[in-house]
Amino acid sequence: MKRILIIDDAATVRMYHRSILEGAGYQVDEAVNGIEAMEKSLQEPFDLYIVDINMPKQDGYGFLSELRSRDISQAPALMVSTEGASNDRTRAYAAGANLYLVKPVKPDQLLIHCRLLLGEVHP
Amino acid sequence: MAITFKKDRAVFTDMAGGEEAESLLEWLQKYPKGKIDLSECTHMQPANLQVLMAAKRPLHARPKDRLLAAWIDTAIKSGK
Amino acid sequence: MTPLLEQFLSESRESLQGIGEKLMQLEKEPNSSDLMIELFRLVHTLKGNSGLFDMPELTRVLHAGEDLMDAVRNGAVAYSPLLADRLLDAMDFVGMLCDEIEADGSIHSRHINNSVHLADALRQLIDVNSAHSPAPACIAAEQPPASAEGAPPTQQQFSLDDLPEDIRMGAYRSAVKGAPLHWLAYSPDEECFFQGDDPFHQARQTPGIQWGSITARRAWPKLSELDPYCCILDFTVLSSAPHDELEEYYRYVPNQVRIDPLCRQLLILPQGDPNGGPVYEDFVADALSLLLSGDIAGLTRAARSMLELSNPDLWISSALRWLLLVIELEPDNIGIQEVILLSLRTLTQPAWHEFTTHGGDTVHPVAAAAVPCATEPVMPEPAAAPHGPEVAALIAAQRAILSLPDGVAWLSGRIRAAAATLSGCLHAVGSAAGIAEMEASRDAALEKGSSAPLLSWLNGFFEPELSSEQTEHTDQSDETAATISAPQQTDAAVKFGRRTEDAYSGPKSIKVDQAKIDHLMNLIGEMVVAKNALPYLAGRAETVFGVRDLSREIKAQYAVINRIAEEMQDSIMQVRMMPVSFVFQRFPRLVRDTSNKLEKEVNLILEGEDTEADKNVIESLGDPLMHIVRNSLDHGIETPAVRRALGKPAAGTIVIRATQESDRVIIEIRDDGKGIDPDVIKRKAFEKGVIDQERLERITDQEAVNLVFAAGFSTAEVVSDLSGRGVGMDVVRTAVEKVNGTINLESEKGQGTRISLSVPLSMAITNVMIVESNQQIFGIPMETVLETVRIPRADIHTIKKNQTTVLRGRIVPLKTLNSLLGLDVPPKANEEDELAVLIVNLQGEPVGIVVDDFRETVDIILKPMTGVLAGLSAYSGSALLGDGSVLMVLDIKEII
Repeated sequence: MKRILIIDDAATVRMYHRSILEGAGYQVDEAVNGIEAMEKSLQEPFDLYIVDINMPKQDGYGFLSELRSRDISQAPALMVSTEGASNDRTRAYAAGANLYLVKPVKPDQLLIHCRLLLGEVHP
Repeated sequence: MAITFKKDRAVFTDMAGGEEAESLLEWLQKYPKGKIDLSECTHMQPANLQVLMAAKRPLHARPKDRLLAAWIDTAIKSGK
Repeated sequence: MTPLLEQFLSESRESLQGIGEKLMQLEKEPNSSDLMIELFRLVHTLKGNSGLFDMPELTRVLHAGEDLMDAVRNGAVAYSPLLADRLLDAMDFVGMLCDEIEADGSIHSRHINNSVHLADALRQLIDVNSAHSPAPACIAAEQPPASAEGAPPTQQQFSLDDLPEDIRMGAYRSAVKGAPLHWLAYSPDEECFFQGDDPFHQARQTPGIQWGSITARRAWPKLSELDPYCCILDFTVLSSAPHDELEEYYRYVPNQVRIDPLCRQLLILPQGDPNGGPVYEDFVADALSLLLSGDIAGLTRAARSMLELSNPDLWISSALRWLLLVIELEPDNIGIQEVILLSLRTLTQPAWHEFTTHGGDTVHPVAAAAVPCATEPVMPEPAAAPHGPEVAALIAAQRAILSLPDGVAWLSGRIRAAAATLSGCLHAVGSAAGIAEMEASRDAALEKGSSAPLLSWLNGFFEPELSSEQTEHTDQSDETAATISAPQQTDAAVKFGRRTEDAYSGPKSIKVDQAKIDHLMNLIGEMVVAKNALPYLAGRAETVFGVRDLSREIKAQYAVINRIAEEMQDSIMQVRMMPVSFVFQRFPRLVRDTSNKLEKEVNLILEGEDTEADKNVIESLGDPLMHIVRNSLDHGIETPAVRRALGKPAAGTIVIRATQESDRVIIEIRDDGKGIDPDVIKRKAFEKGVIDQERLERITDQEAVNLVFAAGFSTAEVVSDLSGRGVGMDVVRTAVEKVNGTINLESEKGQGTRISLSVPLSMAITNVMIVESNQQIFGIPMETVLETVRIPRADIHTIKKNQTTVLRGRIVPLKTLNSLLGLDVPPKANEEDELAVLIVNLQGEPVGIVVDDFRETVDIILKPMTGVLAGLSAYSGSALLGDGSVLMVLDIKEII
């Protein structure tokens, strides 16, 4: 079963994403900031990361660039944020994200992109 | 100096540098009827452009450089 | 109520409470940026959460609060008690709505007015503040007036109708031929003139520029109050360059530029005098029937004759010119032609623009009949490729990622992740054929330390499509996706159609956590020590138990185990090896940026990048190398003018070369700059008390230049901000010595400087010599030992209370190990009355250490001193010996 880590300080958003992803049969874990996400990744890297930008302690950019620079995981990362400016997108890509979506992400959109990022054939 | 100040007109030649904006501003204040001649201008550091835009003075002569003239036109037009 | 809604309400209450508390604290410390950031985050989170539900009343207020706090956080708006009041009011309102949701499950529409009112009150604070901050303050924070519902702000200072028709037609022509079309808004920083920027020049040189305009961000003040050096200009450019190229061109100001793809139909904007009312009904009806019957020649004729009859300045003439252009370029695109014709009925512009910016809901009836791209008959239905837009968006995103500048520490991770994503895409659409090739490109990219190889694979496999960037942008709004991503789908479908059943090839390498390797390393270390117990055991078998055969067998077994252990040790070391390119890769960017900043021209040459060494060693080289290169750039290489005057090429050269010499890696940094003047160094060193008068007189030039490594020595008269604010070369030396490395500098005045670092390939195993003194044994690292000699007592002379001897014509100072360790015991001599002297290298100078006797050399795993012993600087660490005893390893530099 593919493992996905949701990193977001907002419990509601975590729950929203979790319910969509678990409904589709993924194994989901959560972290509230980059530090916790890093600890969990060090124990066992995930197959996909869904990362918020603005979080306390360590934000999404910081987490991704650390994940990439320490070569902990090469798994695709999907960055989601309510901020839609194009420089956020560029920053996200530069930090190591592979796709940038604007919150709220509709359930079907989230699933399609997760399946693609995980290399799964759509049923 | 790429801007020559005369009594009735300021004549731009080649590229006007940023340091010339101050004297352009002074001149425009001193000669409220002074004309602007850009015909020989090829580029101006935008501080000069800001002074021209703020002065809202009609151009006596547009740049011969067609591309520059098109840019300047939009700038002067937007100020109105 | 759903669990998600419950979660939202409980988290909202927590956030509201947090916001209240933070606001109170902010009243006490109104300047605390930590509090402001935290406050912003709380409001931001709350707003993000509310967006998951359909609660516009709630979201509107929170969005306004978020924008306000963002302005406060950025310093654009000052905190004030009024601000706190309004924010608290707004949060009370949010709390009340939460109560209502909890009770009724929804929000009553009667709250709309309050919601709008509160949001306005919050936004007023942003606007009032920015209006009150006068121009001279030059506050750069230009918050775009985001609309309340979070629609993407498509604020355009200049609208497309300001473009002359011939420019638009030219752009349309090239867009039909496949050129991209981008609308670029560039808002330079207000302070940019002070940084020497010329944004006008930058805008004029935009790649693919078709047209540009300049507007002022604010109304101009009176001339007497004008600050010409506060840049308030905005530039708008229509460009036919690809998105990547534009992004690359504006890469230094990414946050000041907004690049939007433009659908070419938006350029079709007839202009002119409407000339009364709609009198063209007959023409439109005839033309439409010609169009629908496919009589293009007839339509062209009709349009031409109508155009001849009309004054060219009329609106209809402009529309007809467009119609003729479209017929000429896209005769099959009946949808567009129809829309242009229909617009003649109302003499209003085709609503392309309105359509794309607002999505599908507010479309003009005419435009609705012809959704710009999707109704083009040549385009397939979106359903043809189920993943079309998403796959295209993902590929476009990876293209954008791989086009970013390479200079980040996590580049290899980023490349791997992009490759993993591409592999996912290929799998998902059943096109596994490309995976092997893609992985080869990825490996090439990793090896080169550059995204380019993978990017070129990507561009070869999926041809860069002009609309790919457009597609990428549409992932935020589904409504517009259909209008602009259609061309991409054709492409993706065709490319992915080329499927072959390719065998799955497993990965050739695996990734292992470093902790696991470290553990293996520790285990092999223990193994080496344990194995060393066997010869000792063999000795005991013979001497204590008298079984000589057993002793011999143990020795034979030991030889086998020893060989295996050594090979294991070697293999594990190999795993930890990394190429020096890991630290070299950051230099091209560093040299480029720094030399630009210093206005110098520098060629950087990297050699031997694939030379490998242990990971720890490689990592420890990063900072010292960076420092040395910065020093070269800063103090070594002269400005082009100076160099020319000296008859040197204008561009300086810095060479960084890595080579392996037996078990050490040598890294040489060479520049052809001005070199170091030994006389200046001597004088400085003397002034600073680094050397005394006596030394000053006899010091050689070579010794003098190496004084730059002495603690607290800095030659630059003015400390530049580049070479690290006065932290001198002594820091470099210390860092290199930490990994048992040595550093050497040679310089010729006017010709350049050469610094070479020598570091061990690996730090895990240390070769030490065991010496005996006062019935104890000590280890001394072999890299400090020059030679061992036995010196007759008679050859030792005392000069000014210091013992010395003469070795090959050179005076060598002698110290006894006992006295260095604070023991008042004289060294023991052998039967011939000779003393055992270990000659060690102490910063380039030989020093003799008198010990009682030499023993063998051994390979040990050096463990640093821990706990209370860590404070004993005399020892660099300890190691276990084969017989179970502990060997203390001396740090020679510390004890002398």
